[in-house]
Amino acid sequence: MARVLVAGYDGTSRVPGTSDGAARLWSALSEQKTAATAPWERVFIREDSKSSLITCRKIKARADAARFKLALGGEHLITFPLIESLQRAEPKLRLVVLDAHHDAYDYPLLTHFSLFHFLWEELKIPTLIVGVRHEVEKAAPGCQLVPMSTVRAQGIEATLARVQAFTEGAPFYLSVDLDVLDPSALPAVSDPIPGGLSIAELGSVVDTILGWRPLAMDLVEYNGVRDPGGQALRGLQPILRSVAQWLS
Amino acid sequence: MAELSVSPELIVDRYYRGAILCLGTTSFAVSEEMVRLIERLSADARAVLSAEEEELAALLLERGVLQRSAS
Repeated sequence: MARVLVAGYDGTSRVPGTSDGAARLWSALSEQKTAATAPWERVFIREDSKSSLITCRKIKARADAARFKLALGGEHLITFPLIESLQRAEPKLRLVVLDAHHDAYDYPLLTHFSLFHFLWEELKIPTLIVGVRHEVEKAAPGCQLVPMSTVRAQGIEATLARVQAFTEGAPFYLSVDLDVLDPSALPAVSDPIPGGLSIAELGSVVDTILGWRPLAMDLVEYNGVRDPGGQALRGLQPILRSVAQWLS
Repeated sequence: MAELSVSPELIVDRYYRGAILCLGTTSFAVSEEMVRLIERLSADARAVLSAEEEELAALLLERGVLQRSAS
């Protein structure tokens, strides 16, 4: 049975709201189940103390006990303990990230905006971050970036070819920060950056990458507080449908 | 022998890696290595430090996180 982590945590984020997003993503994903869908086991973690230390320890302990195939955030920090756990079993693990921000700032604290810097510095996990369009020049060395300007210049097919070349023959993890979408497609994120992917483009990219069989994936940074009526969440249905099919 | 003690005023807000230190009305972020050094010196003010730790300790002394005293 596929295990799904629902991690309602936004403790290192300046803007609150992704903690509510996790449970709402889960509800929307569950609506994609059909009669043929195999059952999923949900593990719910919510840490109202806002402590990243407690939250990451809880997530890692749960992931060490049994692997999660899917995680729903929450802020992007939740990816760190999941990767930390997964790499112990999969030393050749690679990481593909879709994100408007590189989240690789050289900062003393491990937060939602520095996790890929820490993953490289501590664990040396090869990481490819696609769709970056905010302060590209401020990324710490180590991660490979495919800025959004390159995606637009070379096209989606060429970008996917680069992802495929990066992952080919290696176990990999897919992390999707939903702010990779353009704010016109998904305004309900904590730090929207113009110039992102459309729903159709992200759906196509996710569908293709899931076809290459990642070990696990996450969807993070949907901000429920900024989507009180759920309209933005309904727009994500094509992507959630792909994820539900892959999960089953 | 000189001892390095941790200021009794220090408040540590621990992250999964690193911490925010608060002294009086001043707060600042420090790396995991600095947090480990503070924890070590809290347990043993006479701990023998490596050259790298001495450099970190000098920075923490400057900020008032550590205090030097003769034993």
